[in-house]
Amino acid sequence: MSARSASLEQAEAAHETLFALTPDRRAQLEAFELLRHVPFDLFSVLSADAPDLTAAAFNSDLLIRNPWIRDVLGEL
Amino acid sequence: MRRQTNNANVAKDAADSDWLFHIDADEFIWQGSSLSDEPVQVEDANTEVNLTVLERHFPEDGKQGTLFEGAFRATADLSEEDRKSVYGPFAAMIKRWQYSHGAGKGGVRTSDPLRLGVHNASEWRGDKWRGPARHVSTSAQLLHFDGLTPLHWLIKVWRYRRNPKDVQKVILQAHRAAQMD
Repeated sequence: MSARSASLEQAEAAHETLFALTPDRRAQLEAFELLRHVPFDLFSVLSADAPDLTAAAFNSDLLIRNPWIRDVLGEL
Repeated sequence: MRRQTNNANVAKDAADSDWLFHIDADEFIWQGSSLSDEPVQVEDANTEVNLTVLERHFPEDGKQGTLFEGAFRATADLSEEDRKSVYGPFAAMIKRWQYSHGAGKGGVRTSDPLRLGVHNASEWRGDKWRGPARHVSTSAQLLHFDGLTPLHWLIKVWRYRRNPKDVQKVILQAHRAAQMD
C-alpha cells in the first residue's frame, strides 16, 4: 500500500484501502471529505456592474491585451 | 517575495483600517460570518489571524464556464508514506494536498508592531523575527484560484520556467518545480 502508485486509479484505490483499513485515521485524511462546493458568487456582490466572468472572455482578454503572453504561447 | 512583503507593510502602515490582510489577486476572503463573531475573540495584542486556504479545482468534466466555478480542497498533513500512497504519481507536485500553497494568509492589527510576510506575520523578539501568537479564523477562509483558467495557469507556470535554473531554485518550492517538469 505504501508503494508509490503508478497511476491515478492505483492512487485512488490505495487511499480507499487506507480508509478501509484505518478508519480512525479519517480525521487525519479529512481533506478527502473537504472537497466541497463553496457558495462563492461574485455576481451577488458585483450585481449589474459585473464584467464578463466567463473563462472564454478572460482567456480572450489575456491574449488580446498582453503581447508577452502571445510570445510565450508562440514558444509552446 | 521581498516586493510583496514590502508592499504589505507599506499598506499596513498607511491603512486606516483596524486590521489588514494582504492577499494575492487570485485569492478571495470568504466569510461565513463576521470576524468579530468568532467564538474565540482575538483580544490579545500582537496576534496574527490565520485564514486557512481552500484551493479551487476545476470542474471534473473539464468544462469551465465562469472563472470561479469548481470545488475547493482543504489542506492535509500526511506522513511521507501516506503522501506517496494517496497521491501516487502526483505526490511530488503536491504539498499539504495543495498544488500551490497550504499556508493560507495571515492578517494583523495595523496598530500592532508585527511585520507581514507573504503568508505569515512575524514579530521582533530581541534578536530575531519570530512567529507571533496565532489564531486560526473560524469565520473566514481564503479561496485560492491558482490559475483563473487552465490557460492562465499554463502561462503562470511558463513564466516560472523562463527563469534561469539558479533563479528557479530560489523562487520555487520543490512541488512547484515538479509541476513544470
